[in-house]
Amino acid sequence: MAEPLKLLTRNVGKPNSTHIDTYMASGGYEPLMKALHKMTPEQVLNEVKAANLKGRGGAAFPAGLKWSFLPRKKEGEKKEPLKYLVCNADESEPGTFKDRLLIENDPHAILEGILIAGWATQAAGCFFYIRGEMPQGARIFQRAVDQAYAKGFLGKNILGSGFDFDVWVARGAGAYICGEETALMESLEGKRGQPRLKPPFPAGYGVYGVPSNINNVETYANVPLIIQNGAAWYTSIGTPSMPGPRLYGVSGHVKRPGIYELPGGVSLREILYEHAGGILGDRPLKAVIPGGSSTPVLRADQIDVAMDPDGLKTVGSMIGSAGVIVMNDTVCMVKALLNLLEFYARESCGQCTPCREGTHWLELILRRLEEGGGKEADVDLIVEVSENIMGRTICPLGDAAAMPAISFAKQFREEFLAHAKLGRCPMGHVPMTTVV
Amino acid sequence: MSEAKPDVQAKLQDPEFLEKIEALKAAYPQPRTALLMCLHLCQSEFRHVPEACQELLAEKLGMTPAHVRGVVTFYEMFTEEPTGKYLLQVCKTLPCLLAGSEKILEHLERRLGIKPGETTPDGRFTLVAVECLACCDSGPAFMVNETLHRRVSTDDVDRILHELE
Ligand SMILES: Cc1cc2nc3c(=O)[nH]c(=O)nc-3n(C[C@H](O)[C@H](O)[C@H](O)COP(=O)(O)O)c2cc1C
Ligand code: SF4
Ligand code: FES
Repeated sequence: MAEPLKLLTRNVGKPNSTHIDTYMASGGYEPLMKALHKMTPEQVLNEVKAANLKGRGGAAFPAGLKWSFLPRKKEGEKKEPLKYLVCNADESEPGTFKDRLLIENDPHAILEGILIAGWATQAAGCFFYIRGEMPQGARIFQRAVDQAYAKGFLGKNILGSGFDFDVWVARGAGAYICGEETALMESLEGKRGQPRLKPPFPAGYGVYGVPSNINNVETYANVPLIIQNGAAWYTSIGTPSMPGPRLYGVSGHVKRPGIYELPGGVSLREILYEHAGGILGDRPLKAVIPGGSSTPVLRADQIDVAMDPDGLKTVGSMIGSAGVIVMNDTVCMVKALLNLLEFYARESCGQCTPCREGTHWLELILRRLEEGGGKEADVDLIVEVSENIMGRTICPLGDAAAMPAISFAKQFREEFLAHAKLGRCPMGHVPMTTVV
Repeated sequence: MSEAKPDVQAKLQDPEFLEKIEALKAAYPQPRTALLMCLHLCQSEFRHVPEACQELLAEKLGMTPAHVRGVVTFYEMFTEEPTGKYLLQVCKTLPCLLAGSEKILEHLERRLGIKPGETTPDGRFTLVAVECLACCDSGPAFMVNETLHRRVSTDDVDRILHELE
């Protein structure tokens, strides 16, 4: 069994952990000094590339590669082209609660990662976009930013390096879709959070049309570790498809729900039975969603799998945000899926017909099945409607709704059919009567 | 400017309030980024975003009132009708459902005699069922205005409401 790590969570639980003095007392901002004084931006970029840091927001895209898409000044040019960074602190994917831990306990680790990324890309500043329902987190992060300005880590000519960098904290206001990168940028421009058609990608056309790079909170928080200890150390933790430490959030039917910091690619069984204490009530495990609500569901016999992109691919799922939702045998899978489709139907921004109508119809079909008015053909209909959403929308929210729908209906087909055959939920569940 | 209640009118002319808006406007590379922050300010001040307020922000930030209204109606945290003094938000999404959020919601409905989306006649409580609040390891999650309560039981809910009353 892998011992829990204390890397990303090194400051969690310390008294006054959000204060810059606490952060600096254990070596905080030394990686920034190293980067600014001893490394060129290219060296920092190459270190992050060599570390193969994968995005923690959902898609596991290599961060170093994404940074390198931003334009740099050419030979003979005096000034760097204007560009921005964005830190995605929208954290709204059901089952995901790791960024909150970092924001509320160790904001300076995030801020230092942002600053080092700013140096590597020679960006002008970073927008920190935090979901509206985390007012406390916004205040904590703003205070951290203010402290960093006061110490000269932000602003003009940082630590005498000639590098200028600012951070602006902006709040969302209750819309899951604003976690999608281009919707987030629209929101930062004071608009409705409706995703943009890609291409152009943010690296060419981002906030205000300026080239921008966006990463998740946890992604940035990894950067100081890489700069301090080097890429070789970093890749010695985790697996080739998910190097480094990872925050796994475990919720639902386990004895000890919580955040566990473990190497990338640790086995799902180990997370559930050793770290999270096993299944609630010592009941049989029924199903696990491994990486946030948008990732395909696994059956109990599929948990001997590495929690990384390569491992989860072998069972048809994805690592996503590493938010693990556990269900024991008391859960009705139709009701669980209905709950998720209520979410996606409510959160669809409405721009694309397949997503807007598809999620709505899926919700209706599932409600009908759970209430006892469904037909056996509904099970295939769920798959068909979902397949007609997949790949036909502007942003991945459509797929994010379709993937759980298809996987629930296929993995638990017998249970879905039983609802239609019996004309009721075989487990006696009723749908929540109150929606909205 | 459209008609607004006297207290709203007064606030919109209050130098201190206007200064806060100017400060937000100056806090970002472009003023338009301040719109959501300004709307938060109005929502917490008036418990909704009155039309007069939308018009003021449109003027200050160089937008049309229609654009501002479009933004207000898009985001769930902004409302055009006043919410109760206490906004009771019960998380209804899967992890909290597995932790028993239905009981919490039903308890509140019974206790307050209202459905989600409604406000008590005395204007004190508005009940809403919200989606995942990003604290899924400690459901059921229950947020009262800006305060998050974790792992609540129906007894906890009674105690929390009692302390508000
Ligand atoms: C509907 C939707 C919601 C998303 N929500 C979030 C979120 O809350 N936080 C996040 O970091 N990424 C979210 N993403 C992913 C972002 O679009 C983007 O890929 C990510 O922020 C990139 O950061 P990373 O490369 O560091 O992972 C979401 C994507 C979609 C399609
Ligand atoms: S897929 Fe859905 S959420 Fe995404 S742009 Fe289309 S309608 Fe909006
Ligand atoms: S599901 Fe309630 S906080 Fe995530």
